[in-house]
Amino acid sequence: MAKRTGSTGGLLVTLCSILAIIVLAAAPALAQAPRPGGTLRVATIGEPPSLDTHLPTGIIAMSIAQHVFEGLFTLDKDFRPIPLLAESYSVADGGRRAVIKLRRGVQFHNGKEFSSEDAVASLQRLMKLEYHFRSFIAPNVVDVRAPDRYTVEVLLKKPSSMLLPVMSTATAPMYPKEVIDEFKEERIKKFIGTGPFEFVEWRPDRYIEVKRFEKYLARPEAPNGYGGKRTAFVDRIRFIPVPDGSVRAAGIESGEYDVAEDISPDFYTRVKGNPGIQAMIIKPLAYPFIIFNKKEGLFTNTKLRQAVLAALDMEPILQAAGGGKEFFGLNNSIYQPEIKAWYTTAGKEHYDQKNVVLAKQLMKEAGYSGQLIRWMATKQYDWIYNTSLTAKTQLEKAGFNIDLQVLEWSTVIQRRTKPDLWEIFVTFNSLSPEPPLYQAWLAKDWPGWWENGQRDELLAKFDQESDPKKRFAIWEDIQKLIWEEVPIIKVGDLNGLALASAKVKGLWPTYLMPYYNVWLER
Amino acid sequence: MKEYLLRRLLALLPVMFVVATLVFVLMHLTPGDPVSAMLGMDANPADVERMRVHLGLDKPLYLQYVQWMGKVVQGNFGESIFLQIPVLTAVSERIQPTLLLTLLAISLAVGLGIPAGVISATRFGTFSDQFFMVVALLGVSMPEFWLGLNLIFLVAVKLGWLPVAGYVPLGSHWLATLRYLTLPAFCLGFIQSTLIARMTRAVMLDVLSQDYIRTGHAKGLAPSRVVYKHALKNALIPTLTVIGITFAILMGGAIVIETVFNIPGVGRLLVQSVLRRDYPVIQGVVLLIAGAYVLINLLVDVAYAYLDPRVKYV
Repeated sequence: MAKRTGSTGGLLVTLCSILAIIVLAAAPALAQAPRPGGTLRVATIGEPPSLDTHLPTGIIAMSIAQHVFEGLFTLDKDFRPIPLLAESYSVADGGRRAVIKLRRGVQFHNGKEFSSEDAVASLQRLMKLEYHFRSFIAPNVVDVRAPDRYTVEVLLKKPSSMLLPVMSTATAPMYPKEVIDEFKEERIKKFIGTGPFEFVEWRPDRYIEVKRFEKYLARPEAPNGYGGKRTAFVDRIRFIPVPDGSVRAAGIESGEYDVAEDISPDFYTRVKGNPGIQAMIIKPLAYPFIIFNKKEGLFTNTKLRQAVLAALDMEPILQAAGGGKEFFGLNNSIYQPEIKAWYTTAGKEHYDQKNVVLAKQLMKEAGYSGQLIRWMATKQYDWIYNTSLTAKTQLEKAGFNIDLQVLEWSTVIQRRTKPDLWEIFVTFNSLSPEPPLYQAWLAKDWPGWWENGQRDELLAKFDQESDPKKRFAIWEDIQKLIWEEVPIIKVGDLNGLALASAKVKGLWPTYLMPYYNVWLER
Repeated sequence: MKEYLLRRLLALLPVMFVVATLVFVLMHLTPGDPVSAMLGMDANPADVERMRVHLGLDKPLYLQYVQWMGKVVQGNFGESIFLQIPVLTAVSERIQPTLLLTLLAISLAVGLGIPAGVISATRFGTFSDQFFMVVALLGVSMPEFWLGLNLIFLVAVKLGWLPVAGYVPLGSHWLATLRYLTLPAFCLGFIQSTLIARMTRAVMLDVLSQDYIRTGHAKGLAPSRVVYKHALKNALIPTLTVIGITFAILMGGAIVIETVFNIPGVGRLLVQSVLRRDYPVIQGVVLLIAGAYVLINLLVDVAYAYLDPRVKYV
């Protein structure tokens, strides 16, 4: 038989070449494909008092708890409410009955199926304990009932557009009924949710650990913001409290941590070019605002508040507060541009006026003649101090006489409830998905004490209006009123910085950055 | 000696009473409110008030004091407002890293400080003496957190020799525990060693000029025997006081170092409790530190009796 070595060899070479080309072409795609496994080590700014977000617990609690617990609704990438544990939401009886259909087959981490009895118990507890439920929902609720295993009905005295947005917040998780029966209004100590991760252990001052919940029932839609399909790619997440920001950042550089949250923008230029580190700008995050005491003293006078607004040049203040240009934005809208449903430039003509002449005129009209203004600030949050210091310098050039009182944050919180102790303080607002949620300063009883009949009327109208376009128009009127009456002065938008190792993939750099749909490249 | 010890232990009681009262008054007079700190920036005033009533913080101060002291005399330091666990539980969960760090730091401080002080004294005026004293001066002037952050940057980040921060409990991973505690122990120990070195040098110089030391040399004893068997033993007595105080200070939790290196010890607990105005924890921890301080001083006094036969307690 004649040897066919030449043709066989040639065929083999050809086949190998084709295979090599296919592998090389597919390599980037393979490298990008999510891979399960590994433990994600997240360095956080501190530790929460509890993971029970029905009670006031702060941002860190929400950030960790969102992996273990889920609510009936959540927010999409544009921060609009979408179903999560719910299947659908509708209203009947002229808006006085909200009907929530639940998804079937969702399990709690203890194996029990999530059903309407758990939803009813959770909603009732929320209405007793959680601030937004107590303020905006409970006074209007007649009853919460479960006509069947997968349906919840909320009966209202009058139609309200607030129910859905409030149920979409991170502080509205569903707990098993038996856990609520056990702990009632005390902090829950059994963390059993329906999330893609289940609670493992909490070593105080060391870490909180969660692991993949193998029986998690994900939504079928593609990931969309905090909603859609949630996949626990990593086996475990360890949230490690590291109070010192420079140590959190150093831990990324040394490989001790995979993600470091709440990093000072000062680190940005140092790590920007490092191929082993992702520097993520967290946007939207928060806005600092100057708040006036409108109950007693100098700033009961609207003209004087307008004078302060007229004098301010926002860009240097934001630069001092935020750092580089990536970390701040001039924006008069109470809502950041990313929150498309509520972003509006209404009242823009009053923002960033830099008009000292107008300021002096308004001061004269207000009868201001150099009386001392007590301004509370704290160094515990750099940007509060830097905002206050820069604003003070500008205002003094305009003729204001300011006593900047630098105090500990706990002291500021205590003193701000006493109207005889201050005229101005600076604080910030975290991300709010919808008015008036997380805008505590809009309320009459919040330090600042803004009493305004027109505001009350507009908010009542806003609450009862269900048409999105009309609601937006009412909100524009409210924002315009805010810039005319000046109960507060929004300085601008501040963005944050988080660092991650280059091997962490799938991160969405946003407020309350989630770690589902995230994987470790190995 | 037994009567002396009993008297000293009984004397602990009025000291603890004064400390307890002082810390209670100081904390409650300091502006700031634990509930507001706990509930966050956006806390509704009504929520704050509800929680204050729930925690008994709305009661008159004298009543809060009496209730708290009543529990303390029974060994109950109350419950942490923030953690909602007994104060003693919170402390016991965090005592291990603080103890280990203290022991490592004091070993380093003594191990570096005493030899440096002896070498400086025996080579008085030479390059060695001046070198050690310059280093000691730098050490005393250096803030702990500055040294800590620089060591993290150099040793942990740039060289990658040791971890950045954190702690592994002592168990099967004792080597890992040692690795995590090396940098913080060095920071603390180095700075304390400079104090011990300066003290040892000063006392040694005094002792080395004594007649009996000159006699020892005249008798033909080896110089090392004169220094280490005779001179150092006498120089250790005042140095022991410094070592005792150092140990007590380090037992206080090495507050700054624990915070910088993220060690979950008593010092870090105290810092966080102060920021959160967690009164029961602050009061409890300060009382425990005060007690430890007094007991350590008692141990130092007892050690004198063994080191110096001229000292007798009646």
